Amino acid sequence: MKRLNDTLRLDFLPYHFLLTTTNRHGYLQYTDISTGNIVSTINTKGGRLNVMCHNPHNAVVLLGHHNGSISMWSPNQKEPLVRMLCHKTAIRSMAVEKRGNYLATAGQDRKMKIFDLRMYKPLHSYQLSTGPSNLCFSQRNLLAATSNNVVEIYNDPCIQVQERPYLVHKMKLPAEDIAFCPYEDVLGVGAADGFVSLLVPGAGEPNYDAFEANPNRSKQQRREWEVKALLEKIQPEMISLDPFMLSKVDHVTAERLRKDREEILGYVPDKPAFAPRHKKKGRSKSGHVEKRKKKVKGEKLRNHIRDEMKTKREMLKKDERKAGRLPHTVTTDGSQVEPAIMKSALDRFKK
Amino acid sequence: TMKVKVLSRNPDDYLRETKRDIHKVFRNYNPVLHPFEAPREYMRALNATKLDRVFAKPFLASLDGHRDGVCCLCKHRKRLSYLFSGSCDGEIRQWNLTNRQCIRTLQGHTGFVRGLACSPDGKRFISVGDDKTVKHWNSDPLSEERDIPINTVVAKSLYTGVDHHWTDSIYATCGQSVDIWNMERSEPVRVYKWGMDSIQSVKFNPVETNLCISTVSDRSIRLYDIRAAVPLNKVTLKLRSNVAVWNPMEAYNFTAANEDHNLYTFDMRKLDFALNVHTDHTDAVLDVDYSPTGRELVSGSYDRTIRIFPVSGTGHSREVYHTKRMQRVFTVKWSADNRYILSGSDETNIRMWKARASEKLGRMTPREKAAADYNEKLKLKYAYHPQVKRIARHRHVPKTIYQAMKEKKLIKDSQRKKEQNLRANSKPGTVPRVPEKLKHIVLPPQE
Repeated sequence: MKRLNDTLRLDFLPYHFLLTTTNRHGYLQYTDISTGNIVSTINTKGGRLNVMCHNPHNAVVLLGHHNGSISMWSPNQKEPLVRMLCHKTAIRSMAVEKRGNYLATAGQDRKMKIFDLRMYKPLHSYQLSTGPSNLCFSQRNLLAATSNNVVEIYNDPCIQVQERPYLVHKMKLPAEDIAFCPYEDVLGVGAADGFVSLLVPGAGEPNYDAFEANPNRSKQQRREWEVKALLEKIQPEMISLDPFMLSKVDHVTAERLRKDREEILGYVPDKPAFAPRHKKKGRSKSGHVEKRKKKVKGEKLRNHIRDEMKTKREMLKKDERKAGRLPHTVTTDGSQVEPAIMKSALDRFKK
Repeated sequence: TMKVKVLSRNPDDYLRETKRDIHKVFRNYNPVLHPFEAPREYMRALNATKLDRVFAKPFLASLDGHRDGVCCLCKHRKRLSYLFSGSCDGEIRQWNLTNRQCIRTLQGHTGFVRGLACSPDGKRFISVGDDKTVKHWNSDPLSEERDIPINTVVAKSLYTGVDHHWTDSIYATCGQSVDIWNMERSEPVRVYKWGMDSIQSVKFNPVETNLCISTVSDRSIRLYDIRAAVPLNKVTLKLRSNVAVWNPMEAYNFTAANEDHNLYTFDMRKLDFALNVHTDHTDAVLDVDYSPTGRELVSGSYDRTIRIFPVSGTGHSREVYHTKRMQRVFTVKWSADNRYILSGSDETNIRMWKARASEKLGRMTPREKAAADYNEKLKLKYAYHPQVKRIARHRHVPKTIYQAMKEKKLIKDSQRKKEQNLRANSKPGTVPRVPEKLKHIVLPPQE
């Protein structure tokens, strides 16, 4: 830990066992706490980094800058994954909701904004009396905001615009930091004169999953969980904006490999199935597309059967001629004429 | 007035009452509570694959006793634990696989024991040897007549193999011809001849019980119906096949172990192409046997390795077994409970292997079983991820085999390159592409 200097903020990615730290000089550092190694050090060139949070959905670290922009980082890239301009003034605090869909930011312009992280677009903007210095989402999407000595709690401000806060609490001294207690309706607020636990009805998830996080686990269970968690430690290389990339079909690589193979072989090994052209005015609905595909398929099959039948007929003719049942008819000028197959009344009983 | 409810948890509802109780487990499948599902599952799959390799200890035991190379093995058709083995000095031994001990030793023949076969009821077994005799033995190790054969038939020519019918008291021998014998008679009831070449092996079909298959030194594989007077059909490969065995589940398919280092699976109804070509051995394949599920096959080779192949698929082996001391593998068998593989080799030992290298033997608790099943599924799901694939495929082989494999690849690559060049510089269509499944077949089968 001696290698971290002038640290301003600490954050922890629990499934990656990564401690993320920011410092005065604009450096973001990832430290693997299970091995003690520094995984990555990034010079963000973003000035003093005193606003940091992470997206719990994909473990991307968000940094708020004094020019009103935020940037998203992974340890694998020296450039930000995303950079967004959110406020006209410096960012004071940020929080990302548990599903990773919404981002709440607060600036010195006394505004709190909600962004949709799937589209990177602003959704709502709240004008407050003072700019919140702390933001925190609970497990059930309650947003706690502290401005000076006032703690305000908004009930689901992402989906609906809230006229007024759900709960307000006034403290003696300014609140320094806040955090919701998981699986409980409790908000912890730290101030200069001590620590306060506030009851916030509806904040915590009532039904926990004992295999994921068990508040009532025994010592033995905690130890077992620790071993399992370390075995399942996600490698820092796997941090990306879409964490479900791994279980999806990789069409891009498949296409590249197919092209490479074609180049090596010099021919198309398995021709892609017929893909109908895209038509407009509702003619490319799935039903229509299927119909067109079927038509082409049927036509191919018909042609194939026709050819097969033709060769079969010719073979049959040849065989019969060989067997002597069908003599070649010779015309007066000496050329042979294809004889018609002579049908007998008994032919229809043949199998 | 609004009613406000705050979460309050009574520990009694969440904790077990006494220390002897099991822990209460509450589940919530909401995906928000289970983040990073895909990467965590992937890490689990990767760990499962690694552990699979860590626990891969396939060698179980060596049955020591023969004084010469073991040239044939025979499974008892009724009892899992009995095994018969014949060696190059004419000795026949009966083994109990449970306690891995020899329970009977017979001086069967002078010269090689060429073949062993067990009757369907398991009461008798037959041996053929280089002394031109066929001997019937009682397979009960405690019977009165355990040291002497029940019956000895003196043959006119040398026999190289024997197999018993799957239901009737009929057996077949091969040598100069394929002879069909009745247990009660001392003369063959039927003799099949097709040319003058000697026949290497004969095997009865387990389902269509009157069919049998043999491999011949003129490089052909022949099919017979013992109700007919003449052989049925044949397919000729470029090199000689040493043995051909039937798939026990899809009994119209058979696999032949060939001298050209490959195994060929055929459909007996359509012999003009091979269903699959199993490559990977670096020397002649001497014996092959199917798993009772019909999904996999095991082969023993002159290159001192045993390989396990999936019957369908890419044609590459999923497993290779070898030890420092194991020499040329003359014979392999897959046990009837699908869990073990037995091999007889040149240096007088019979070896017992696990069919799945990292499988845990013995009873498993339900939790162990569930974990093993889950890991199996994970490995399957992520099998095509490059990292998982690399670890799952990785095997250490002896240096000689590694070199031989490299050389084979080099030869194959250069041949392919040459063919490509030839095709590129010839009139289009004059150099046809011959697929692997047709390449090794010489003549189309006779009608």
